[in-house]
Amino acid sequence: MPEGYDYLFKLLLIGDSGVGKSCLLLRFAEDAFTDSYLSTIGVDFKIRTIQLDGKTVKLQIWDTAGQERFRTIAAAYYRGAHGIIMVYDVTEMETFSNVKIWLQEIDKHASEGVKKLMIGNKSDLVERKVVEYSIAKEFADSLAIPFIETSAKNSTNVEEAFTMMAKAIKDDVDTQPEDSSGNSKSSSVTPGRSLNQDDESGGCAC
Amino acid sequence: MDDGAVTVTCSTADGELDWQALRDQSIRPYGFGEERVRIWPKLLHVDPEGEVPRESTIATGSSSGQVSAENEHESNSAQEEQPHEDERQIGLDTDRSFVLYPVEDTAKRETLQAGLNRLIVSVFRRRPHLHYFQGYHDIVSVLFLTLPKEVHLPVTEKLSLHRVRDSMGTTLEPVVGLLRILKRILHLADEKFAAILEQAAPLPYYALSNLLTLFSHDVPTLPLIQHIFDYLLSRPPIAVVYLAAALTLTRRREVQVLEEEGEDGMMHSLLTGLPELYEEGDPASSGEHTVMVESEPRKEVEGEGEQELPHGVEKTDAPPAPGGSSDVASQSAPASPPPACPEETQRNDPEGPASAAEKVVPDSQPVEPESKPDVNSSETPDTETTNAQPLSELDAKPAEAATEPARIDEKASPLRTTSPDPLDMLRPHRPRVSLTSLLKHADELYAQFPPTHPDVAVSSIMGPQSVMLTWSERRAELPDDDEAELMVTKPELVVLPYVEPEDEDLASDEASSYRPTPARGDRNRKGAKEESEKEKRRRRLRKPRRLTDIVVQRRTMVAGAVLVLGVAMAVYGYNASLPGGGGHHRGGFGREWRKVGRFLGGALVGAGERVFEGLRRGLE
Repeated sequence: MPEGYDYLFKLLLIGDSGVGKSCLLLRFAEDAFTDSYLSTIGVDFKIRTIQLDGKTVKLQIWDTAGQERFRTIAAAYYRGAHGIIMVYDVTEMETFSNVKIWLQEIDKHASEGVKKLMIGNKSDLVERKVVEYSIAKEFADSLAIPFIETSAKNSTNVEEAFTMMAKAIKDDVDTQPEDSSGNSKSSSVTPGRSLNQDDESGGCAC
Repeated sequence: MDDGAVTVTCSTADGELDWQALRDQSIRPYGFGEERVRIWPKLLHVDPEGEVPRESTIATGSSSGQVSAENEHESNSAQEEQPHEDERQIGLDTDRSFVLYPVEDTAKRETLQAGLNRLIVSVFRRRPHLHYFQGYHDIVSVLFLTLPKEVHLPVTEKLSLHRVRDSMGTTLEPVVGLLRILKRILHLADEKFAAILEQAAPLPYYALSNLLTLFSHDVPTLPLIQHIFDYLLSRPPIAVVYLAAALTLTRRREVQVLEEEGEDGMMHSLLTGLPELYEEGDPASSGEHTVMVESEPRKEVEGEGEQELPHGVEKTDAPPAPGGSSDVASQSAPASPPPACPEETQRNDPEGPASAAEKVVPDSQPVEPESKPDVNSSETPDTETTNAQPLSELDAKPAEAATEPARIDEKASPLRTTSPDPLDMLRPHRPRVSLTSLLKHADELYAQFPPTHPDVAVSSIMGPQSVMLTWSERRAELPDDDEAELMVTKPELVVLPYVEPEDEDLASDEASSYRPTPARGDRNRKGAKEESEKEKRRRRLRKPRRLTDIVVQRRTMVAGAVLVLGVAMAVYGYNASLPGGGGHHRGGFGREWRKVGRFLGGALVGAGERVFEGLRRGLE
C-alpha cells in the first residue's frame, strides 16, 4: 500500500541532552534551523525521502529525549531501527565520553545487525571545540563505526551524514541473500550480520 | 492575560474552597479567567499570606531588615542551598524555554529564561530528594507566566510535591504506569480503536509528554494551557490521564485512515500532535488550514451516539461558537463568551468562524500528498514548510504560530521535531476540538470509568505513595511536604512492580510499528521476509530486552512488593466503600489509599526496602 519509495529505513537519533539531535533532524528533514529549539520529551519523529543509487529511499527518523530517564522509553524504539545515529557535541567533552554508554544501550536493545554512525555536532563552534576530530575518529575506527562531524546550524555534512547511513543500510539489504525465509534464526533476520557490518562500516568512513 | 471577562464567583468565602464549583467553572469557556491567579495557589494549598514566601520577602527588602535585600538574599541562599545534581540539565532546558510563547523578543526571553531557571533551581535546592525531568520546565513555565512572583516558589513546590511528584524520582516508570492506565481507559472507551492503537505500539507512548508535562509541552498557546491547568488543578492528579484519553479519542478517524494506509510511524506522529484546540467563544482561527485538514462530512458528530462519539470533537464546519455543535458542548450551555479574549487579540484572525466553516465544505476529499516525492526533497510539501517564515522569525512571533493552528497543533511548527507536514497534507482531517467540550468529555470518561473501576483499577498499577493515591482536596490529608519529598526515594511504592502480562505483550507485538516495510517491486518480497523474520526475532527478544534493567530489578522486588500490596489490598478492601460514579471527584477516591500509603510507608516499607536492596545487590 505505501507508495512512492523503494526502501523504507528506520533511523534513530540518540545522544546526550542538548547535543543537537532535534536540530540535526530539523535541518535534514526541513532544511531549517533554530537556536531555540524545544526540548524533546519522549520520542519524536520525522520523515524524509532521498534518492540513492537511483532508488527512492524513505527515511523514518525517530528522535529521542537525551535525559537519562528517557532511555527506557527510547529503548522500545531501538529494536525496529535499521540504523542508529549517536550524536555528541564537539564542544562538550562529556557528551563524547558518554557515547560509550549509548553504545551499550545499542548493544542491549537494538538488533544485532543495526548500522551505527557517530556524529560530532556543532562543528561550526570552532573556538569552543574541545573534542578533536582525530580523537573521535580514532575512537570510531577502533569500533569500526563511521564518523562524521556536522553542523546543523550551517548545514555542514548533515545531508552527508544521513545519506551515509542510508547507504550503509541499503548496501546491506541489497547484499542480503534472497532466500532466507523459513529460517527465523539469528543472522538472516536483520539487514546484515555483524561480520558484514564491520567490513562495510570500515569502508564507509568519512 | 485574561481580560477578566470571566468572573469566578465559586471559590467560596475565605478559607474552604468549593471544589465542585471550581470544577464546574473550569470546564466553561476560559475556565477561571483572571481569577486563576488567586485560585491556583489555593488549589495547591498555598496561602498567600500564611506561607512566608521568601521571594517576596527578598523582593520587598523585608521590613525587619537592617540587612539589605540583596544581602539577605545571599545569606538565605547560602544556608539552604547546595547545588542540586540536576542543575546542568535544568539549564539545558530552561535555555530552550519560552519558545512558543509568550511574545517576546530574544532579550526578554533570555530574562524570562533566567528567572525560570532560578525558580526551578530554588525548588530543587529546597527539595534535594526530588529529581528534575525534562518537561518539568514546561510545567513551571506556565506557573511562572501566570502567577505573581511572590507565589512562584511555594506554588511550584506544592505542585511538585503533591501533584507531579511521581515523575520526580529517578525513572519514568511512574509515568509508564500512567500510560498503562491510559491504555485501559481507552480500551474501555473504545475497544476497537484501542486495538488499532495497540497494534501500533504496545503502550500509548505518544501521550508521554502530555502526561509528564500536564500538556504544557504540547499546548501551543498560554491561554489554552492555562485553561487546561484550571481543569487539572481543580481535580485529582489522575485527571490528566482522562484528559489524555479524551484527547486521543478525538483522533479516531485520523488514526483509522492511517491504519488503512499502513503508515505505521505516522500514527505516532499524528498522536503526539494535538488536534486543533480552540476556546469556545473565540473566532475560528486560520481558515486556510482548516480547509486543508478537514475532509469530514459535516455534522457527522452530532448524529452519532453518546458512546461512539468523539465527544468534544467539533468538526471544522461546526461554528466554534459557544455551545458549539458537539453534543457535549451544547449540554453545557457555556457561559456567554467574554466580549474580548486574549486569544482573539493575539490571533488577529480576519476570518470569523463562519467563513472558516464555509471554506471547508468544498474540500471534502482528503488531500493525497504522497505523490512521488521529488528527488532529494523532503516529503514535506514545500508550501507548508519551506514557505514558512524563517524560524528565527517564527521564534520571535509565537503569536503568529497561534494563528496557524493547523501547523502548530500537529506539532507542525517547525520548532517541533515531528513530521507534521506530511500529516497536514495527508488525509487526516484533523478535527477542531473545543477545549470545553474536550474537558467535559474527560469528566465523562472519569465518571464512566473511574479510577476505582475494576478495569481501570488505578491502585493496581500505581503504588500507595503515588500522588494518584496520596492526593487530597484537604490539606490536612495530604502528606506533609517533607514526607512527600521522601516518597520519591521509594519508587516501588510509587508504581507497583510490573510483571509483563503475556497477553498484553504478545498482542501488541504481532503488528508493532517497527516493521521495515520496503515498498513495491522486487524489494517487496525481501521486505516481507525480512519483516516476518524480524517479527519473530523481535518477539523472541522482547521479553528479555524490554526495559531491561527495570524488569530485572523489578522481578527481584516482586515478592516483597506483592506482600506489601497484599496488605494494602486488604486494608483497602476493608476501608473502601468504592465511591460511585458521582462522588469520585469529591476526593473520595484515594482517601483510604492515602492512609494505606502512610501506613505502609511507615511500617512495612523500611523492612521491605532492605529486602529489595539485598536482592538487588545479590544480583549484581
